[in-house]
Amino acid sequence: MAGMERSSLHERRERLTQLVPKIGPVSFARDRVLPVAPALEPLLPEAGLIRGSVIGCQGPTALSLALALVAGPSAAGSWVAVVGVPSLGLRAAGEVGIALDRLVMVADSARDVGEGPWANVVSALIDGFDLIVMRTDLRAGAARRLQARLQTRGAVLVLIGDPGPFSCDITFTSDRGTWEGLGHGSGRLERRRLSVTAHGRRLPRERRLDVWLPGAAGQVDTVHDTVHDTIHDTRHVRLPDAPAAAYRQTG
Amino acid sequence: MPPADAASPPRLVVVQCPDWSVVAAGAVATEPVAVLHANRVVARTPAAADSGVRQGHRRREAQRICPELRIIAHDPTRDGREFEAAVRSVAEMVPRLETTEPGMFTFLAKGPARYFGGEHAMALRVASLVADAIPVMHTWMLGIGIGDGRFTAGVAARDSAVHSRRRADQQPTIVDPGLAATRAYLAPLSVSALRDVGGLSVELVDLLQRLGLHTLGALAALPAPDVLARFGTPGAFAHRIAGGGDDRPPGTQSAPPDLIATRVFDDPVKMLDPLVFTAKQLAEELHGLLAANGRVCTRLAVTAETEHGERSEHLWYRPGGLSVAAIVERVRWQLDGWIRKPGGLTGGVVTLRLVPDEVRSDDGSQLGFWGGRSEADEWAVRAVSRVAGLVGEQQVLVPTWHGGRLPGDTYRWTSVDQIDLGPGSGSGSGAGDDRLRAADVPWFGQLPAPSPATVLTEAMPAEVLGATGDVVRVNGRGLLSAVPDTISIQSSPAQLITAWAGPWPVDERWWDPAAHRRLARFQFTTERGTAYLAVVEHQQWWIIAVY
Repeated sequence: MAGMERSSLHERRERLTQLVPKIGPVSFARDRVLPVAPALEPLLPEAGLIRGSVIGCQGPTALSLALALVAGPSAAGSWVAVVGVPSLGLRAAGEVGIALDRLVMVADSARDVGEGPWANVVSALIDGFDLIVMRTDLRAGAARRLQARLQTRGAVLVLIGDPGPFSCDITFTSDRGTWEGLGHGSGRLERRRLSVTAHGRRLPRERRLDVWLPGAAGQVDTVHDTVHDTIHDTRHVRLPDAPAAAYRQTG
Repeated sequence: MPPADAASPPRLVVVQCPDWSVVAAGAVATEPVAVLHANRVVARTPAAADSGVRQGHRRREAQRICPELRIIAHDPTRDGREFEAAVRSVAEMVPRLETTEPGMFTFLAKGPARYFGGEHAMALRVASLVADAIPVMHTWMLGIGIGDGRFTAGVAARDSAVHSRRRADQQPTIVDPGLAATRAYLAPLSVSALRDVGGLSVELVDLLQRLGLHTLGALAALPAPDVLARFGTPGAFAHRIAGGGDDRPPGTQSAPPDLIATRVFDDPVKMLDPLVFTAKQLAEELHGLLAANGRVCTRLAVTAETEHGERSEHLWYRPGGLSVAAIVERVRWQLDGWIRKPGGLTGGVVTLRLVPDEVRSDDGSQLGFWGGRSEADEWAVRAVSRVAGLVGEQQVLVPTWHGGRLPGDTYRWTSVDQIDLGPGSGSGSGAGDDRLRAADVPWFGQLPAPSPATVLTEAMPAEVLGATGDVVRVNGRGLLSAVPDTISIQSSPAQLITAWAGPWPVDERWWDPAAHRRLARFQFTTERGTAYLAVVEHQQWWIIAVY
């Protein structure tokens, strides 16, 4: 009996799959996904950022994580707008994979235009950019309108810190992480192991993943715990000259 | 003499309005107005031109030259929509009129010239038809060129635009038929015409000029095999058109007759958006069929018909090939102008048809597909100018390479009014874009990757203490007075240092007493797990970045 049910279920599913292309044009949410760096794929429901969604990044390393998330789409040709993060490290952004020639920042002081015009500014960014990274201070009404606009335009909003009135599809939380490579008077910061959790309405249960962020070259890397995990090229990395040798560097 | 087998190019009329965008915006000729795209002037009224505003000027430059200049943002949809009226009015008299871009159309000279009584009379008639259709247009704002082949006629039209404007009267430039006359006309002209009219690359034209080939005549005088050997296919093409030869791109042929994309609507459609949406599906269909054979459509007929038999039919030409996005854009221009024409339509649209008229082998020179790279760039550039208009240009910043040993020096934020964000610069291939180019070169003495994610805009003063509680000092030879033990940032409670490295000294600009900096860099991780980049300068510790 049970076996029969299962087979009929199987048949029905088969028939459905055959029907789907005929009913079209249907655009599934997962067809509209912006690719992320492979190391972050396991954290995301469709292995990428779904267009029209709102992503929250929280915790002490939220900025690093936000940059790592937008790096994949940016490298694939999307433009990234950052709002009000004047301290953004551009070298780090370049190393994690963001195309700096497709990065634009709106200064924080631009918020002085007032709440209404400011919402228009964000809305204009949504119209032109695939990814917007910002901290929010908008009211509920404006947030609702912007969220609707995101969905029609297919952009992704990445919020750093408290999402405020926005409802996030996925929220990432990362800890401070542990650094490797630095000794006592020797070595240098080589890479940081971050533990990232993802939860939200698109994920049936919380996902947790350890990544190297930044990895050895500044990019985001998968942690291979099972393999003997070493960095191979540290010896070839060129440090600035030792103090005695380079007492006078000309610049 | 030309080889006998070379088919002589058809005799064409090119009509163009060099400052079409500003006419489309409805600006009258006597008011100084400019249309800007990506911070550059793309079109200006004769009044603005008289005060010295040129195409390509930056906003600031233009406003300095002409302070009362009114600035209008560029809107390609407006340009296309408004031009439809001009095309419609001329197309009633002239068969097979093809639009290259808003502000420019081309047609075969032979029939209409006979009908209107000579090429000169026809040119004047066409000019007045266009001027009558567009309220703020004068006939002298148009350039009309007649010649053998698209290139010759295009060059002539450009020439005519200059003359007409100078005399404030329409002066068509007519190049006599025949290869000899065409060659004689082209020979003294600059090779820059190959770039401006012929669509050849800036690099090729630069190269020709550097090699001393300044005129089309000089290029045409070279033996064709040598030009092909030295400059490749584009060079051979340039050589051919410079000599008045066939200017159709290689591999051009008529489209196979069975290639048609049609949609019939059971319910007549009156709204523009559903029509454009359908056009996108049709365009994708067509593009797929053509791409399967490695071909691309260069001339396309777009036809729409209403239930009462009203028709709109246009030919669209694009030498590089019409991508899906380009087709959709053109359908929108055509239908938007048609639906909004005076009197409007009496019924809804029942048929929409795309028919390729001319195809060529795809050499990959066309722009990206829908949602492709060029599209994303274009949207972003538009959004940037919109945001800059809302909050001020100083507030919209892009990274530029600066160079230096400290993390905040490598790149700086520069406001967009000093930068060109034109299409092409996004992919880093734009010729004028070198704001990030130097970044590929390693900077001697920089700390290696990873770099800090947060670079503080203002350094925070800190205190680094040794185990005995004394401030750690660094002497001129880069030696420490004690092993760093705790760090206190901006007078906050001291944190234990768990690991550290340094000093990496920087001694910059020692030849300049004012700019001389001498400091040592350190990396610290604290008990809370945060990693800092600190510097010590004049025995004062600063936190400059957080990893």
